[in-house]
Amino acid sequence: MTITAEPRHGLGARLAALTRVVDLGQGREDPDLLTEATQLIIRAGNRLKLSPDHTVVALAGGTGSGKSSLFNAISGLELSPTGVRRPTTARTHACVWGLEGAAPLLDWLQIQWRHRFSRSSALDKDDGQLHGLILMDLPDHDSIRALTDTEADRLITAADLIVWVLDPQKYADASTHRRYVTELAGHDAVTVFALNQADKLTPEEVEECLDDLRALLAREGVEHPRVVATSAVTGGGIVDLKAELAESVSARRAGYLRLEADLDRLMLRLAKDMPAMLKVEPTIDPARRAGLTDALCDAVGSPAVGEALENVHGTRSIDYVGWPWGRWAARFRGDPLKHLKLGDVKEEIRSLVADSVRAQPAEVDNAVQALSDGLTQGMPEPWQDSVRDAARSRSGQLPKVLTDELAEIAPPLDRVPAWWRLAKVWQYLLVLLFVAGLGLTGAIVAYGVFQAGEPPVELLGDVAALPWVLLMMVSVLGVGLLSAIASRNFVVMAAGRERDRLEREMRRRVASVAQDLVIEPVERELTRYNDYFAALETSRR
Amino acid sequence: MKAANQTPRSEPADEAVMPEEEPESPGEQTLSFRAIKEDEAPPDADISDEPDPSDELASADNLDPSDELDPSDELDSADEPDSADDLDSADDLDSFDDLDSFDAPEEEFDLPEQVSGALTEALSQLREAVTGLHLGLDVPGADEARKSQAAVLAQLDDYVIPRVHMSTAPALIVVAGSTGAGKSTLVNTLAAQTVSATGVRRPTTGTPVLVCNPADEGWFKKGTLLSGLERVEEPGEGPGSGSIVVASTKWLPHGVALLDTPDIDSVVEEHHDIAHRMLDAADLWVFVTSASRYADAPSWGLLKLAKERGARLVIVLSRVPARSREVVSKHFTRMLDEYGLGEVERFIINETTVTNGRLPDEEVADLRMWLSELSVDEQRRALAVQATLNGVLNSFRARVPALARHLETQVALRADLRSDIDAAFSGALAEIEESTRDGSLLRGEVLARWQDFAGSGDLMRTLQIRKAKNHGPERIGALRGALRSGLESVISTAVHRASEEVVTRWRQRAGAGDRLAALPGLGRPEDDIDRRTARMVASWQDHVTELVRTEGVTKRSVARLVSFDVESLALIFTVGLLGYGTGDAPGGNGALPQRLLRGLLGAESLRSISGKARSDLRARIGLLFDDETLRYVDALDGAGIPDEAAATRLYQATYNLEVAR
Repeated sequence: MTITAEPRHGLGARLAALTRVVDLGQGREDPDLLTEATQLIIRAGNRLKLSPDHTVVALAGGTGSGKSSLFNAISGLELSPTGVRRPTTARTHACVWGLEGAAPLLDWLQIQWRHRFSRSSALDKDDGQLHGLILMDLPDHDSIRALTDTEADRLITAADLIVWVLDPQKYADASTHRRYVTELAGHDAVTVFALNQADKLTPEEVEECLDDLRALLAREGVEHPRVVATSAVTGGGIVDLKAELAESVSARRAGYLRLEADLDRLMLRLAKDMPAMLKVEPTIDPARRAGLTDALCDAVGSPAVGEALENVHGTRSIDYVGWPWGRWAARFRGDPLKHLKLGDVKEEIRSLVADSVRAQPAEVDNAVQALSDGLTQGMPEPWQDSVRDAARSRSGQLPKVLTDELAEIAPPLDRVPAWWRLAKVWQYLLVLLFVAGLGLTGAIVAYGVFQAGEPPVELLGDVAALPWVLLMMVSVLGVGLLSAIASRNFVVMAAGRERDRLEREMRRRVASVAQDLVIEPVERELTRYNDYFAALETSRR
Repeated sequence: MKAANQTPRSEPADEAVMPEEEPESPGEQTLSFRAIKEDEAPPDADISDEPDPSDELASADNLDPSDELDPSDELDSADEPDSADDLDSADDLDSFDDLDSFDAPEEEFDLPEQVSGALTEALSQLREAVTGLHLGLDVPGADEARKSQAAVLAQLDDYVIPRVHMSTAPALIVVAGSTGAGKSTLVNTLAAQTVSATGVRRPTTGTPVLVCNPADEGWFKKGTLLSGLERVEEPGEGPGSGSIVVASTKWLPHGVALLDTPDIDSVVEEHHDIAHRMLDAADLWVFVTSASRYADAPSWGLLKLAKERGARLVIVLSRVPARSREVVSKHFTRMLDEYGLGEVERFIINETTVTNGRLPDEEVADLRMWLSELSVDEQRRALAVQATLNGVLNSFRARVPALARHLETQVALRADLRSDIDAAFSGALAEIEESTRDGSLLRGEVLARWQDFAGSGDLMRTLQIRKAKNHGPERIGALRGALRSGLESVISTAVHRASEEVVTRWRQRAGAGDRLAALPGLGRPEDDIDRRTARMVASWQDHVTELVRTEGVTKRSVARLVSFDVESLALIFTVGLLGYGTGDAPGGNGALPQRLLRGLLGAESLRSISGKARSDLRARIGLLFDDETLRYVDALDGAGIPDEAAATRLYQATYNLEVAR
């Protein structure tokens, strides 16, 4: 039991892994191969579910090689009609040694009821060793009839053990070798070659023929061919063939061996060009993440936004916190643009900077592309594409999401902080004070110096107060200038802080958007890549 | 010397036959011979009579000269048993006599039918057209087409061109069929000596073996027919696709040669090709199959081919077990009837023991008779040869246009693949045009830099350069850099997408397309694309600055008041050009840069510079794309360019051939 238990377990695990391979490889590997794999999984599932005590043996071969004669010779009954007309057999006949439990298997093989025969082992004492054998006589695969009939093909695929019935005329036919024997190389354990009609040759010729056949099979990759010379007419070699069959039947392993061989063969093709890198890092390393974030930040222009914020704020703050006298002086210089009749360009420039941050789609694309290019180095091409597609899967939304996300935090460039207004009020207060001082000075000069009349208030005639008033006016100007300079410094400092905060916040948000829209899909794909090749490895062994 | 071995074997046969024929008078013998032929041939009678086809001729010539010829022939046959060696040479002499007597009428028969110059011309034209055919793309069916091309060419060289230039004799009878059907055995038996190896190993024959009357040997060795094959004495190792063994035997009648071919269905696939090449050169096909093989698909494939070619066909069903002869032959006949080949002449050979690679002679009596009839009856032979030749020429009617049609598919596919490249890249170009027009480029850094530039007052300052010398060059540089990298990324994204699209489109084209698409590196642009794009964009920017400098003649009224920094103005111009204020770009409330520029430069001048700058950009991108497309075109050309005129030449050649016939 231990002998049978081990391959069964191994086969089950491998088939389970193959199911995963089919699942994960969808859209990434050759669809034909995956279809084939699916078919194998289904076939294996069916076969393993059905009677493990029976061994399905197919007698296959070209028309006229004597499949039916051999079938009758082995079963000892005239069950399958033989004849000289070619092709003779059109429907598969089956003979069962030990009927119990075989019916579902025969149903699965789609053998018609009237073509099923049974040999109860009680009747044949010498055939006890064949108990559990289901012998099928297939139609040929090489006649003009077979061009439109795939029955032989189907049953050759489904059988546990295949006996190729060859004859001296046809043993080297391309139709047998190219389509089947070469394709089934590696199935040595579940293939027997019977050189039938040996009675037509002399013993020496039989030997020569067998040698030639062995050499031919060796060239085709059948390493240890089991070759038996038989003759359905004289009965020669039938015993040897029966012994070969009995060996496989009593071991009850042919079914597993067949499926294993099929699986091996499929895996050879599926794992034809395994990449050097079977396992990739399933998470994206910090350096790459940072690279992506940087690139996306560049795409929204975050450093430039920060700089612009700082500069624009600095410039605009002059209107509020600047020294009003300086602004008024500048206005006197005149504006050449007025002559261009462009309307209020300055106002327009002011309004245009009121816009928010926007991501540039092309640069977003490039950033994503660069990430996937870096990650997929050394991967097979379909997987390179699939990782790239995963990275791009949501990149259509990316520019918009970035824009929306960052618009929330980027303060409008024309924002005016409250203290700017306070500073402006203060500056105008100072201006008022200066104007008041000017008035006072005028009054003092008028009343005190030129004695223009009786001053309404005593102070206005007090010439001695004049220096003080003048001093106050100078101080007012000085205070205005100084507070403008101080405010300006505050603005710059605040803008610098604001810029730092903004850049940090933008970066944080860009990183989180990138995580959701790029990194996660890519990591899912990388995990899939790892799973696929892990499953492939498992199903190979 | 082979003949020396031969004679003792035929000795008993001769003795057995002679007594039957001896009693008749020499003059009547020809008549009796004729009678025998029409009925069932008496067993073994043919071997002794075979070297005397002149009898037949004589009989055709109203018997008179036969009186003279007959005694000598009789003498020959009678003497043979006594001294083999001497008589061998006598036999040879006899054969040459035969040759002489044959040659004269043959020439007379064939010369009137001499080939017209037009036909020769048409054939060489056809040959040229087929040779010149280059089927480079692996579309579905390309392999078949290439095979068919090679086959047509080989048939023209091996058969058609030599055949139309010469008489109908000797006729080449090609024996073909499945492996193990007994082709070599049949040929050996008919030749009455082992010319082709037989055995139980399958496949047995690898090198074709031609066997003919010694009189014809020289002609076949000269190699007008099958001129591409090397004549050898012994078959070499393995399948000999380039050689043919030529052997002679006097037991074969004059004017017909048998060619034993490799099989059509064994594991050695080269054999199939050789067999088909031999069949292409055949005047008559002898198709050999066996009782266990007559339903095989490859055999019927060959019969189908014979039917299509209109070749003169004879079917031999060999290895028929005596007890099932009736059933098998009936069944086979019915199958042939159903297939429309019921009229074809058939011979049945029983399954018997093969000794020394030969069947008992009585098994092939019918066939031998048929051969000798063919040998002596020129008219019949000529008809057969003509029929096959006509069949071949008729087959060109379908085969050559089929080649032409395939070529046309190739040409069409190539055009499709080419248009895929163009579509992908013109799509990319349109994409770039769009995004350099609708303002979508003015996002991200470009936008921020522009805002920085405009909002910080530099924009105004550059326009008042007389007063503000200290405008921030770093800000202008940053805007310029941002514009450049924005343009670069738009272009490089477009190029990447275009490369991918070409490959995707190619993958959807069956056959050649996906194979081409699998070429490494085609899915992405060349490595230095970024560098070239950067250079291209930078030079375009320089060009724009230059344009603004030279063409942007400032309005006179403005020039008096404002002077400006060209560098900055070029940037403002670029921002405006890229669609600032259009579409979803910011500043939708009137495109400031345009208005500013219009004010500064005048509408006329602005329009002209814009047009020039845009077309210059398009031209530069076009150049860049040309370099990229070149790789795909190279890949396409590497696969082989089908010549479009070749199809026309093929049709023309086919037509000319029809006219010449």
